[in-house]
Amino acid sequence: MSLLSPEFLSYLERLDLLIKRSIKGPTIGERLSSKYGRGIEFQDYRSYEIGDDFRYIDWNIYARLDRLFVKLFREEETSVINILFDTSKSMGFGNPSKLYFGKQLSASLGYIGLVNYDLVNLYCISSTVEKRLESLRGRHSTMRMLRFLDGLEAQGVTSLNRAIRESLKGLRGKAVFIILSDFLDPDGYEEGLKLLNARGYETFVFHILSEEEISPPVSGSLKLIDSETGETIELDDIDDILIGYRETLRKFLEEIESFCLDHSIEYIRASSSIPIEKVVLYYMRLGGWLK
Amino acid sequence: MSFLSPIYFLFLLSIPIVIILYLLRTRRQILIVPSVYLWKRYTREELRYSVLKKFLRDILLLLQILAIILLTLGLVKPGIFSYVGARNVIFIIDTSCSMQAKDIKPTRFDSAKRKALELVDSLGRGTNISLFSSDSKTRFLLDYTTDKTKVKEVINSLSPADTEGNIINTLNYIEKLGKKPDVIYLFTDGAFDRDIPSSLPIEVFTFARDSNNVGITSISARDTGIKGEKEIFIRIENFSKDKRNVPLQVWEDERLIETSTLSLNPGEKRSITVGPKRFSGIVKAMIYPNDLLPVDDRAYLTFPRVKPSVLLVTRGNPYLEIALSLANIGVLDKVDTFDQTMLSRYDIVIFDGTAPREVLPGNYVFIGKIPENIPLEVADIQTDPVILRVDSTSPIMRFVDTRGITMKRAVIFESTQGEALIETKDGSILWSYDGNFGRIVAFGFYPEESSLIESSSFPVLVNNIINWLGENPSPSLASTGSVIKLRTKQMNESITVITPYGVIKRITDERRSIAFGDTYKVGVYSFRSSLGNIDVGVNLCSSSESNISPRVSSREYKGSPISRERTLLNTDIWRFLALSYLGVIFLEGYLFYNRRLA
Repeated sequence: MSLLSPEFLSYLERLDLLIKRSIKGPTIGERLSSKYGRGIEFQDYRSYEIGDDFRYIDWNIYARLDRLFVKLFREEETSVINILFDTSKSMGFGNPSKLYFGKQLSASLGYIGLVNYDLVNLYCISSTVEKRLESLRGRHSTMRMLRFLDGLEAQGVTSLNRAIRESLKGLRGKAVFIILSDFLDPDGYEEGLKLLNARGYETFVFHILSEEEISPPVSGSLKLIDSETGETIELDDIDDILIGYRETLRKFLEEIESFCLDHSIEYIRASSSIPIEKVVLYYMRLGGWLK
Repeated sequence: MSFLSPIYFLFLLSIPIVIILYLLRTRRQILIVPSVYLWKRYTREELRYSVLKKFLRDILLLLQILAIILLTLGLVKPGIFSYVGARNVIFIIDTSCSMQAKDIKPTRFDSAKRKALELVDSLGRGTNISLFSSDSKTRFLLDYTTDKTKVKEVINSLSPADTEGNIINTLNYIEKLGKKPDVIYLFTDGAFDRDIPSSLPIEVFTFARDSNNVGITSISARDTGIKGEKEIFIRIENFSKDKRNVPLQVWEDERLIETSTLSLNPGEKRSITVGPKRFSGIVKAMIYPNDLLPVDDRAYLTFPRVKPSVLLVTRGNPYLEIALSLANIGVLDKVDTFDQTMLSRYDIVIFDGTAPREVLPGNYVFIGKIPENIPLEVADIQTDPVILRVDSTSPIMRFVDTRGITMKRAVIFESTQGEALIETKDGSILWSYDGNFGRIVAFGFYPEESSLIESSSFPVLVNNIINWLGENPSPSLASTGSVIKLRTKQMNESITVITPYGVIKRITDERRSIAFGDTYKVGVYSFRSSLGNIDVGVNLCSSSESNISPRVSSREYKGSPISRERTLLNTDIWRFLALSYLGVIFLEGYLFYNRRLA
């Protein structure tokens, strides 16, 4: 259990993913739906209408008021949480690496899903879905999930749009998508996120950055090699360029954030150097992801 | 723009070398990064929004390249192609006498010069300008040049001569030179008779308004045959449109010898005769018409006595040589063989016992033999001839006593021309000729074979012959612009010429001759040499020039359009380029130093 400490797990057990949309899973679960239906938690009354199940008529009220009212219950449903974890080669950078940070984050969110009896699917994506671990449910699946995450390595080239399309194949019903990535994809991410949004999935985007991306520890003249594609770029007088690079990074982050805001996608970004406990227990709660 | 030394563009090859060195100098650290996506995006933005900033980053390299370019430009001598109105332009300025007329203030010539200067200024850069002046002679003043300052300088230095004009000759001369101008600008008063050929690309600017002029158009003297007396003829013409009363005065040295007033109708010419008289010194004719051209209001005649130069062709004749030494001779040379080229150097040639087959016209003495082409034939050879008649009226036989003269033999001449000076019963044995062939005296006998040699009449006869042959039949007179030829006693002798415009010194050549052609002003030219003083009157005396009325009008060239070709101008900007180069080098050093400090 190297990814998450037992103390942290105990904290996570008290948290639940704050899902705003009604997500009806394949089975009845423990998550209260915003919809009325079958359940055990009373929600409201309404006048009887022809066709209503007699079993839900409140006879006590009928006796008192001589009118028929039907009891309404809040539906309890199972949520499907799909965690799309970018394990491309670029995630292997940082201290700790973005991959490790992503593993911790995936484990945390997955564990929260498991303890809330949600259906958790893990997809490791790069240019496509490289590995997947599906249909995890219940606390007993925790070890399986952690082992799966522990065995992941950074490899492949990022292609978010393609990977998202791949992950949607065969998926039915509503679901939650949590995307963990550095989003360093020249082909962009917009198409994939729009697709998720169009299908009505509630989407959470966690943008993982490393410190060396935020403040590259470079100087002089450099020949930069892309870890994924091997592409090179030569830069002189990097000290002057860094100012412009930071500006470019700022614009890049703003673009993602604005895009997510425009498409009702939850967005949080964090550096891999920030402790996972702080990210989950503070940032995510503050951001309204967890309750 | 083009370049005069494009070979130096090879120097630009050093730019790639500098760039290679610059690239080699920057050793880059290799770094593997998660993705170059953001870096590439940054560089794209940089290129899009701040290309200059990127270039400025490599400003030292740019300055080095700029320095090389400046240095190269300096070496290749850049020139500028400029479109010019006409590539080759010839200016002809009429400097003939009539251009001195004052109907256009201050004179026609000054107005023409002003117009020419304006035209030079108005020509485009790169126009090749050539300059000619035209009076009696054509002067090639300036070959094609683009230096307008030089052209204007030469134009300003021009002044009109007192000579006739000959524009047509000038045009022919230019044509023969093969200058091939795009246009010829002719500045003239149009006061000449022959019109300009319309086929030539000439634009004529005329400067003339009035024809108010009365001038002396001829002056000459004629021998009356009586004791050296001469008559002087002076012709005066009225070219103005009004009747004119013109006072005339004739001066002999400082003495007024003739005065009258002539009444001349428009276009009338009148000849005045002065003499007969034995004139001496300088005779000056003056009229006072108060007209537009004063130059032709005076004319000069001089009556010099020039000692002749004599060539004696002989195998040795001491009697003759002694007699010649006593005669009035300037130069006496002796040779044993004759060459026709010698003729031009001598006034008189004496052939003693020899004669060429043919001779050119000139003044000759033939003793014993005669050439075939003179109008004299040998009729017979007579032994012990007897003198029957002597022509004592001839100046050759003056003071010559032939009584008692005997001779062993003599050639008898026969001729329909000339005069027989000494005759025998069969014909003449001493003959003289004065005609188209020059003046000739032919001896039918050898003096040394006669008793004449023992007589005192022999040197007198020789002196008379020399005087007669060497006599200048007319006063010294020349036209303005003509060449005056003189001989001296010695080689390389200095001759002082006092001209109407100053004193000039000339040196004769090995032929002891001098040709003086700077006779551009009317007046008396006085030549001082070892032979004494020789005065020559130089006059305009030209009806065509005194007639200052414009006969040729302005004309604009309407030929094919003037070619608009590109001409390469050498722009002397290498100093600017060198300064710029130094500036760039200093700037680079300054930036490099500051960067290191930073």
